[in-house]
Amino acid sequence: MIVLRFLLIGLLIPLPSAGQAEGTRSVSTPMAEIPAGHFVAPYGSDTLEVAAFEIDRRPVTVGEYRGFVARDPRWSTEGVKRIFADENYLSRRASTGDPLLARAQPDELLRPVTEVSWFAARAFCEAHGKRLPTVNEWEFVAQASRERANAHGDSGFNREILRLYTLPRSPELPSVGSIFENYYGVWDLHGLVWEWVEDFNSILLSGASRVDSGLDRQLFCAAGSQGATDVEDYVAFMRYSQRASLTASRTGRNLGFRCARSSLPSGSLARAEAK
Amino acid sequence: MITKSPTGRTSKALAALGLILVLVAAILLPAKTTYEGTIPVRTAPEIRGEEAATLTSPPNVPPAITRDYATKVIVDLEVLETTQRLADGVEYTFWTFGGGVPGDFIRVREGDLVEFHLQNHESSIVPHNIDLHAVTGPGGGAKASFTGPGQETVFTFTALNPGLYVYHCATAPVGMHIANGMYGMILVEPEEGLPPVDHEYYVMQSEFYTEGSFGAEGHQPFSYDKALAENATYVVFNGAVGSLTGDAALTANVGETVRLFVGNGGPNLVSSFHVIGEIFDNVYPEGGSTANHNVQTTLIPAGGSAIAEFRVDVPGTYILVDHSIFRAFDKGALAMLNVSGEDQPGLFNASPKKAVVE
Repeated sequence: MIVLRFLLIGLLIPLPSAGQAEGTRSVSTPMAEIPAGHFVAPYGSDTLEVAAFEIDRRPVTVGEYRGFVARDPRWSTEGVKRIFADENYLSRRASTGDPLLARAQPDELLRPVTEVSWFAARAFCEAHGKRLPTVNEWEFVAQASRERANAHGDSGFNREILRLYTLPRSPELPSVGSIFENYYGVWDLHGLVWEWVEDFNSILLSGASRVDSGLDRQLFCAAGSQGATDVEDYVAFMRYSQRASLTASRTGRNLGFRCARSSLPSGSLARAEAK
Repeated sequence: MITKSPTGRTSKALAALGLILVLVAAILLPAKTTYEGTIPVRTAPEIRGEEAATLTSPPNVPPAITRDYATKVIVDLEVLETTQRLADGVEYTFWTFGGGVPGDFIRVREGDLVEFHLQNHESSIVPHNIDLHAVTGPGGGAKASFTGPGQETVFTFTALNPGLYVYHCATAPVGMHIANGMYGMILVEPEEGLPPVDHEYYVMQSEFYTEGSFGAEGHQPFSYDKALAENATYVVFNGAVGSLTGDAALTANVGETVRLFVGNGGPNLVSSFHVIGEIFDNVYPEGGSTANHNVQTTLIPAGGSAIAEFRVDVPGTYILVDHSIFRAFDKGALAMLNVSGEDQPGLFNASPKKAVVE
């Protein structure tokens, strides 16, 4: 059912053509509204507040990214500046100049786009009036299981998502909307691709805080991980270590993204109240 | 022959000679294991030239080092996540150093400057790193070698201490990275080298924790619960049940000497390493520098090693086991050494009475 819906969205994506100008058409990915809340990150004991926001219900697809590149040739494989994306940018998937992609089947278009840099992911979201989610927003949504908004400490859920990372991989990624839909109606946060977040490296970059040294302990075994709030949350360790390995121009075969947007009405209200 | 009683002059000369001998001995025989007074930080020796390390997959060991000087050794090791056989009909998605389990064997000489290149294949799901127990430096290189998919990192270290050392991945979650097969060994040969033997083999024990029970067919995912309970589904030598049996058994001929570089990757269990029908002439327990002799079973800690040497005197099949014996016969910790050659009835005779009757 959901796959069919995505299939229809995929068919609506304009085919790339030489004459298309920037911003002619864009198809908006359905978003889920996430109410404000708080959570405890696996690297520390502080409760982190998350304001209300919206997030794409699934990762950005090859088809969608192809439409974006067609409208903005600065992000084509030929047009991109090397400082914004490494040499593997779109090398296997969404290049507009790729004759294979021109003949791509609908299921190819519905795969998550990967081999995109942080700069490129950001540009895509901006072009759609959105932004990348923050690491805290992403982690907040990702702690939801099918039934519960907060499955933190649910060992059954932890085992299930860990299992997703122990299965053999086929060379081609599955389509978006194929892993599972969580409590908020958001798909594929676990087990499909890693996803860029706006502040993917902020935790390690600031360097001096107690939280940082805590994360450092988790990522490298020297001092053990006994400070972890939930030692069972293995996939969280994998996510944080994966983010720590990135730089903004990096691309990866298993690294995609989705976009988010602040919930302006309630967000503005909250800011007004704060003042 | 003229004898001469010592005069004052000759005794002075003898005293001076003695002092010189003591000084020379102090220079030639550095006190490696005593820490009297303040000792300076060790410095790297002079490095001459450079070479690429020869890496081998188990059970092979790179050739002995013939150099008598320290050099710069360049090691290229690639991490690959790959689905392979764990037992007949059973597959597992291994995370490997070099494409197999255990990872490639590295051989350097004491004092060598090692330039370590760690690559992580672009198809990898997660970042990896390497902690070599042969490294003197923070994390054994773990933090310096933290490598995302499709990336390469480089760090250098001086191999200060000789010995047989385990290396492993130390990226969070560490337990899972090791449980998936991320370990191997590096030998730092002492300056004087190792005595020549006829065969050197690389054997590494480790255990796997799968959702299905031992022998359950198909692809088996990692079981966090069993790993936490240290309840191994498989205990194996060289990464799979039967990797060193049948046609893949180790071989030697009667009268030859065998040196086993034995490691234990863990992640949890300690090995009671034993070769059924042999006695180790020499064991370097824990991979260190002191030999023990005439050893039946040697204990190898998780993340540790031992060097076992013996001469094979009698032909036949010798079984390598973890003498925590259910692991051997029920979980896979069994390998074979086939010794060919003429019977030695004076040393071992399977049926002396029968021989007499005939």
